[in-house]
Amino acid sequence: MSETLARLNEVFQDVFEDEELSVQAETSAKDIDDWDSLMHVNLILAVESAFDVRFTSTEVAGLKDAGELLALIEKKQA
Amino acid sequence: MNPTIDLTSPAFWLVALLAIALVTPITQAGLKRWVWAGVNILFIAWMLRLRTLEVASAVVVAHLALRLLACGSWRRAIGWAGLALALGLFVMRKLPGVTEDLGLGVVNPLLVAVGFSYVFLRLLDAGRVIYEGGRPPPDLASTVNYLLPFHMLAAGPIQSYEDFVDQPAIAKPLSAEGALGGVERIALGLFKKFVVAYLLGEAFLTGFHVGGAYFWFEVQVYYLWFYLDFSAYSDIAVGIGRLMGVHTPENFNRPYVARNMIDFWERWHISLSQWVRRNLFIPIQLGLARKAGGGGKRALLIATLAFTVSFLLCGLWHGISWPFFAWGAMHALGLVVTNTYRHWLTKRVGRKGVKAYKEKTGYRLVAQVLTFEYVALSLVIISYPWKDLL
Repeated sequence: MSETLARLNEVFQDVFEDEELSVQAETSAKDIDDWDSLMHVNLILAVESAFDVRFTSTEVAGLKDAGELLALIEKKQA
Repeated sequence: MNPTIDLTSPAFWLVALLAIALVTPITQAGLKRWVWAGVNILFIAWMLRLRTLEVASAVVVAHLALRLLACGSWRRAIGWAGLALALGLFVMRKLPGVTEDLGLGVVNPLLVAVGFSYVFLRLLDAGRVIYEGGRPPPDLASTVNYLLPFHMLAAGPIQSYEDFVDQPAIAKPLSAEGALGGVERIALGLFKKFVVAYLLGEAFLTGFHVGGAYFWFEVQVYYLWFYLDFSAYSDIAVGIGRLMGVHTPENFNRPYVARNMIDFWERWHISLSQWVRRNLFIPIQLGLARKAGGGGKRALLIATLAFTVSFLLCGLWHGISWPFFAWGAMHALGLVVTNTYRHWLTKRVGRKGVKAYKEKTGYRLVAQVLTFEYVALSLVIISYPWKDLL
């Protein structure tokens, strides 16, 4: 597990209040019942503050799974 | 009479046949873009009998504005000016009286004919994505093809700009099966619109001029009629798109089985609800959440505000009038209630509880009937002959 994925996993566990959550690149809203539009924005803001990045609404709207979120974080941090 | 897109017109089908014959066999991306743009301009010029020069000039202006949004220190100012201009044109499209008063009476029929309500949404979507650096701006041919695709002008779907850019420049060669699928889809659309919806309309619809029990019967039939007629346009567009190798998004997925209003908008006019999500709901929600210093406990309140503003604007997009405002408010209320209830239920019975609850057939049927009736009543608001009451 890469360092970014491990940190992202912590953010997911925090936001969804589930310590057993294990996020993979292909984890999507379908796999996490609580991941609805309300939680989506909480998740995005939590990721922004944890990684010190900022997403545009285009990026937020287009996100399909944790892998894309990961790729976006890595792109912004590069 | 002002020209409009008419599916009974032989010219529409001639252009469709020409487009399929010309665009489908091309295997070179640049050539395909230009031939497809040529067909779209030809459609505007010939079928709509429009002032081609004016339309072409407007496309060039839009093209330059979209390119400028991607670069330069002026892009913010260009963005605001472009938005103001597009909004001004939108108001002229929706309120012909304003156009007359300004001495610009000729503009409204042009805007009506090119389906400016939809062009407006595509323009805003492209503008936002390009401004945010999500995708590069289009070349001139792609500007024509994105803003004025002839088969999507009448009633959508509204392709997202990202989807438009990301689609393969050359689709897979059309197989016999694919061609048959496309033709079947067009036939289905024609059957729905010109046979089923037509007969339903002739047999049962009175324009809500009959009261009592019949009124309630008509409410049910009207929703069915509306769905059949509207989704038929999408069937025809998707079918033509398939035959041309031009990606055309799906717009409906059995909306009458929706079990709540959020589910409904994931099934009805999907390309519009996705547009609202990308361009209104998410930006409003993100903006408010950032202002509040994180969503947290206020997430529900923020979502409520975002739903309300988004769907009031969505109502006004359909028509700048009180019935459409009320329609938007009714849908916003339905979405807010669904969202709040879902949130409350999850807190109360947990995720597993919600899942078990969702699987119960009885609950599902009640939810489906309630949603169906709620949507049906919202359609009455926009179609009821209110003037007769005055």
